[in-house]
Amino acid sequence: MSESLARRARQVRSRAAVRAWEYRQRNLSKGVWFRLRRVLAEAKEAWAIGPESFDALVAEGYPREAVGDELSPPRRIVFASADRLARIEGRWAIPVSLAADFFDAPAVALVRFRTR
Amino acid sequence: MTFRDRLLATLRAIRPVLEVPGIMVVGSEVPNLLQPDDAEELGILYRALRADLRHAVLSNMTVLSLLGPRPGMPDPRAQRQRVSDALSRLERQDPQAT
Repeated sequence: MSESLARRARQVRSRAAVRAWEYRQRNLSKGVWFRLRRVLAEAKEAWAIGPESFDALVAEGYPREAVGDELSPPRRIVFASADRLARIEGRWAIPVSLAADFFDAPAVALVRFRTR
Repeated sequence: MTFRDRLLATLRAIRPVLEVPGIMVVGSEVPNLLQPDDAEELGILYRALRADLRHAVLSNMTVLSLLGPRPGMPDPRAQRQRVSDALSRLERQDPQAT
């Protein structure tokens, strides 16, 4: 086999290996990305907060979103009222999306479009 | 931007949703095309889908709800609450949705 054919064969095998890895991640995720998107679909606003503020919200009765614990590493996600979040110092607004800001935040507090 | 340009830009943006087999499109950004019975019709069409297609509809609507702005197209973020409401409405009508 010529060198160029051998190189192309390696490239094909490499792409196939990467694709197979990506499919494994998708298939093993068991719908976690859908559940995470579903949670975010209800959010009007998203705020990055510190772990202490997150723990305080949970202690006050705002339930931790279970889907956050399905991720690795786990993500702290909680819905709370806008009034309550306004009292958290040092919070900063992040886009409601699965972008870097969401995953880099120590914890994420969400505000719903409407009260349940 | 003409209405046609806006409509085409919106359709391009939601192409991933439209490519799902059996998907339907209800409503638009033009108020006079959105009729009061659209939500009910959407529910009827949705319930007629197979379970896997119903899940695909919900899944793609969650993708739609998180779309960011693109050059030359209407900002989809302005419609997020409508998408959220539509999602919740469909889930209430589907006892198998999770």
